[in-house]
Amino acid sequence: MTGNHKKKISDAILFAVLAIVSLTYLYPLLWLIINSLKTDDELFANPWSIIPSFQLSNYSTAWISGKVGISFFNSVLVSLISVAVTIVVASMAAFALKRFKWKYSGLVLGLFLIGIMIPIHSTLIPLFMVFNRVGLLNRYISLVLPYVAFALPTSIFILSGFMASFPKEIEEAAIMDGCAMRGVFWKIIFPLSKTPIATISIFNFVNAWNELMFALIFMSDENKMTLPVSLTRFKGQYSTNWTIQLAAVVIMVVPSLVTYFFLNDKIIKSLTVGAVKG
Amino acid sequence: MVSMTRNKKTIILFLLPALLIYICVVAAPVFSTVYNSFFKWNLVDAKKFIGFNNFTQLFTIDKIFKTSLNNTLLLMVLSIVIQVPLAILLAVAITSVTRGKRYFKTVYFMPNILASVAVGLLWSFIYNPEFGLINRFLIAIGLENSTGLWLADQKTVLQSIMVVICWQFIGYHMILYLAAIENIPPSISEMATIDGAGAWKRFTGITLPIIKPIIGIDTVLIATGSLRYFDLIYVMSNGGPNHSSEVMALYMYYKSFRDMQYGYGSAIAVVLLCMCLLVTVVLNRLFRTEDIEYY
Repeated sequence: MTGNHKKKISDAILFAVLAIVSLTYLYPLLWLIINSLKTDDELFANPWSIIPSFQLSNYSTAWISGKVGISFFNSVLVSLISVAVTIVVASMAAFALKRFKWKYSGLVLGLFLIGIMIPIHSTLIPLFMVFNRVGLLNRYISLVLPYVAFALPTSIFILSGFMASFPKEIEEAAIMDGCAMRGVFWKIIFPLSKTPIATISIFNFVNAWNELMFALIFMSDENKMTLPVSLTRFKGQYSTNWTIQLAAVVIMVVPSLVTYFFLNDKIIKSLTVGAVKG
Repeated sequence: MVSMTRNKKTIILFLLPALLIYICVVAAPVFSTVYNSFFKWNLVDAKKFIGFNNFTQLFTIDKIFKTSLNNTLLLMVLSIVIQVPLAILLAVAITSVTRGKRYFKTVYFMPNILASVAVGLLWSFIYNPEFGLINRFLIAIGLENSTGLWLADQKTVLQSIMVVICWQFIGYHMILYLAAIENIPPSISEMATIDGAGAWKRFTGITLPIIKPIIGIDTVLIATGSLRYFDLIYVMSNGGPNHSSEVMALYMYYKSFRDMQYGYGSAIAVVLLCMCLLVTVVLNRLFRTEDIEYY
């Protein structure tokens, strides 16, 4: 066999192996969607069957009496607000840290960066006690505040990296035109930061959408729950209604998958960029 | 950079929201948790200072904590030892294959963006002893004797959970190694090939040493992440059967918010925090290398 021929065969084998592995990722999702449209009897009789009986009632039951619809709305609200607040607060902080020269800027940045190492579990009890006492439990802000707070270290890190990277002439030109620094930020720097802001938005939204622990502890009201919590309740309430559970899982997973389908490069980059630099 | 003095007010104004939120929601609660861990506190009786009693109880009498600690450490070691080589292998495979790179990259990463809750629920169904894919598959290929209760069996629950952890997260680590490998100048491996080095020699002699820093970073990520495993285990086994799959985060959750032993729960959280910091420091030191220069 010539070297080239051998290479082609080994490449084909490699491709085949990788393809088979990719099936182990795709098939469970396919199975999930198909079986969410079956009745429980159908599922038990033959989990392999490819054509379901299209029980859309599974979805309506999950959405309405399972309150997945309300949870969906709650998740959207909490996630969007958390991301919006994080973007504004983090970029302001990064601006203050990197576009001005002052003695303790490195120290303060370091303070924020330590937060990357802190597990949320070491804040759960005090936050729970305080929120309980001031009546913030089961209010959206009880989730928005922790989501923003724990998003700040990585977000500020990424944004300050960006903010350190362009010349100071930009501000100086604006100041000579009579703009105060505050105006410089909102009119020039903030719009300039579109790329890191997009990166931050993506991983913060994904984290907020998928977060369980804070939501489980702070939002026990079934009308205020986010999707992840609602899904765990499902296990108890409908524990033998398998196909309805599957429908609930599909409802949670489909927005993520659709977004991923369109934005996969950006999403991958967003979720991994913080890791390497950290 | 603009001078500070004129803009002191602006700096403070811009820094304050982030600093306030961070201090109130992250920094202060951490100190509060450490403080609370020295108390017996259950909202019914008065909060009582008991010194290190919580910690001695955790490490001497509490059998479930011991199990949860062992399980957490076991999952951490397994997570590193299984995921790092596999992720590197996948990354190398994807760089080597000629077609489909983008497709494989996208598919393998995909489970990362899904909520662990959803992944856990889905896999609970896959592991279901009666209609789940695994048992039905084993029966279909004639291996009826290999079927099991998986998540409902003390002997197999941790391994079953480990499989799901790998399924969800290997793609993430693979991306890190992929980026690192793609950063290696091709001229180096070309020179090595000309010198007669085979694929394996090139891998161990060039690729591995160069990506060693990334392996270090990734290992820290996996280790600190594994200390916090909660979602998957809460949904798939809830620590059972009989606490055999209990992990520290789960135990802390139940002790604090179900049993309402807030002092004790705080102590568990402190142990978790210390382990996170310790692991980060130790692993960073282990993987410290000088920067690589390419000639």
